[in-house]
Amino acid sequence: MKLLKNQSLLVLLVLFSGYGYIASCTHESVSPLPAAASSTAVITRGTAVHLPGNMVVGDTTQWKLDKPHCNVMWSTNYVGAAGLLTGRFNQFGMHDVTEAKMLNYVTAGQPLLDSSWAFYENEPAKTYFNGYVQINQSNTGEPARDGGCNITTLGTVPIVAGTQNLTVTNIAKIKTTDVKFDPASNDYIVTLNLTWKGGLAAPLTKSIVGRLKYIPKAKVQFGTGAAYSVFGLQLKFQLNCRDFGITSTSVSDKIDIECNMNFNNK
Amino acid sequence: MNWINKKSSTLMYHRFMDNSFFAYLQQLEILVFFSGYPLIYLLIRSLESEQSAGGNILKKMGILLPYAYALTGTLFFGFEIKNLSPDFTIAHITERVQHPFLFGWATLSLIFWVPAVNRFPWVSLIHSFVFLFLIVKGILMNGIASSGDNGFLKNNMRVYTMSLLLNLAALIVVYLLSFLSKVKSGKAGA
Repeated sequence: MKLLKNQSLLVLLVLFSGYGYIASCTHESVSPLPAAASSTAVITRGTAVHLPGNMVVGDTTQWKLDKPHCNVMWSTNYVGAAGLLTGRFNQFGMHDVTEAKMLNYVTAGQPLLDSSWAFYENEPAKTYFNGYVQINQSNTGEPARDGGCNITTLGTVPIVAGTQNLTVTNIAKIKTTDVKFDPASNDYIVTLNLTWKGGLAAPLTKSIVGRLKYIPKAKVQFGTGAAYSVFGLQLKFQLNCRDFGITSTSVSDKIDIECNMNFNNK
Repeated sequence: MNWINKKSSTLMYHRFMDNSFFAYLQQLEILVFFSGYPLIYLLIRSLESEQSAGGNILKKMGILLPYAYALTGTLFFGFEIKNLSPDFTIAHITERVQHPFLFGWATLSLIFWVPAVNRFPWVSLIHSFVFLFLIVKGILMNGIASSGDNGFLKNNMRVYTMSLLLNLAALIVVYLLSFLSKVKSGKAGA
C-alpha cells in the first residue's frame, strides 16, 4: 500500500514535471530572429569611360583635372608613436613625367598637361594613370617646418618662386602597372610603381598596392551657368619612407597617401 | 544566480519593479536547493523495492534520503551565510531575507541531521512538499494564465532541473560517505 502511494505520487510528479518542461519549451515568448544580413557585398558597376583627350576647353567629351578642387594628402604618426602628422602637397599633377621632362618650369600654373590617365569603369585592364607631386611643396601649415626641416629631411631643395620644380631631387611619381576589380567592394585594387629619390643617391622605384575608388559621374548646374559633369577618383596607398632613405625619427616608417582627384568636362 | 535566465529575469524585473523582484530571486534560490527532493525521494523509494542487482544500494540510499536532504539544507545555509558575509547585522539580515517563513522552513531542514528525526524519512518528504508546491503552483498558473510569456515557467523549470541534479548529487555524496565510513569501520574492526 505504501509502495503504491509512493508510485502514485511519483507518477503524478513526473506528469507535472513533464508538463512543466513541455510548456516551458514552447518558445511562445521567443520572438523570431530577423534574417541574418547578407555578408555578400553588393557590387554595382556602370560602364562609364572617362578620357582626358587633349583637355580642350569646351569639349564635353574630354575630362579635365580640376586641380583647385583636388588634394594630395599625407599622414604619419609623429615620432612613430603619437598622433598623426599631416600635410598636403600644393603642387601635383597627372602627367607621365619622363626623364626628359624632369625640369624646372617657369610657370605659376600646371607645368604639364594632366592627361596621362584613362578610366574605364567596367574594364579595369584599360584603366591607367600617372601622377606626381613636388616634394618641396609639402604644406603642413607650419612655414618654419615646411621651408626648414622638411626640406633637408626629404632630401630636396627649397621652393623657388614662380618655378615648378620637377627635377629628380624634387619629384615623386606614380605609374600604375595593374588595375583590377576589388571582389569585396566597388573599388579597384591598383598596383603602381612609386619612384622617388628621397634621401637616396638615385631615385628608387618600388611597387606598391593601393585602393582606387570611383565617385560616379554626376551632372551639376549652378545659377544661370551651363550644366556640366563631374566625377572623382580617390586613391589611397601606403609607403615605407625608410625604403627611400628618410631617416628622420619625427615620422613613422609608414606614410599614408590619399589622393582626391576631381574632374569635370567643362 | 547564473542559472537563472537573464532575459527572463529582466522580464520578471519589469513585472515586479520593486523589492518583490528580490523576493522572487530569493524564492528561486530556495527552490534550487529543495524543490527537486520529492521526485528523487519518490524515485528511490519506488525503485528500492524492485528486485534488481542494485536493490541493496537503492535500499541503502532510501535510508540515507533524509541525510541527503539535511546535506542540501546545510549547503543552502552555507550559501545564505556566504551571501550575508561579512555584514551579519539585523538590518542586513532583514534586508536579505525576503521570505522569512520560507527561509525559516528551509533552514529547518538541518534538523534531519538528528538521527531521531531520521527514523521517519517521510517527514523529509512532507517538509519538501512546501517547495514543490511553489513549482507546481508556477506550472498551474502558467497553464491558467497562458499569457504567451512563459519566461516565468522557464525559469522555474530551469531551477527545478538544477534542484534535481543537486539533490541527486547530495544523495550520492551521502551514500559514498556512508560506504567509506563502513569500509573504514570494517577495517578497524578487522
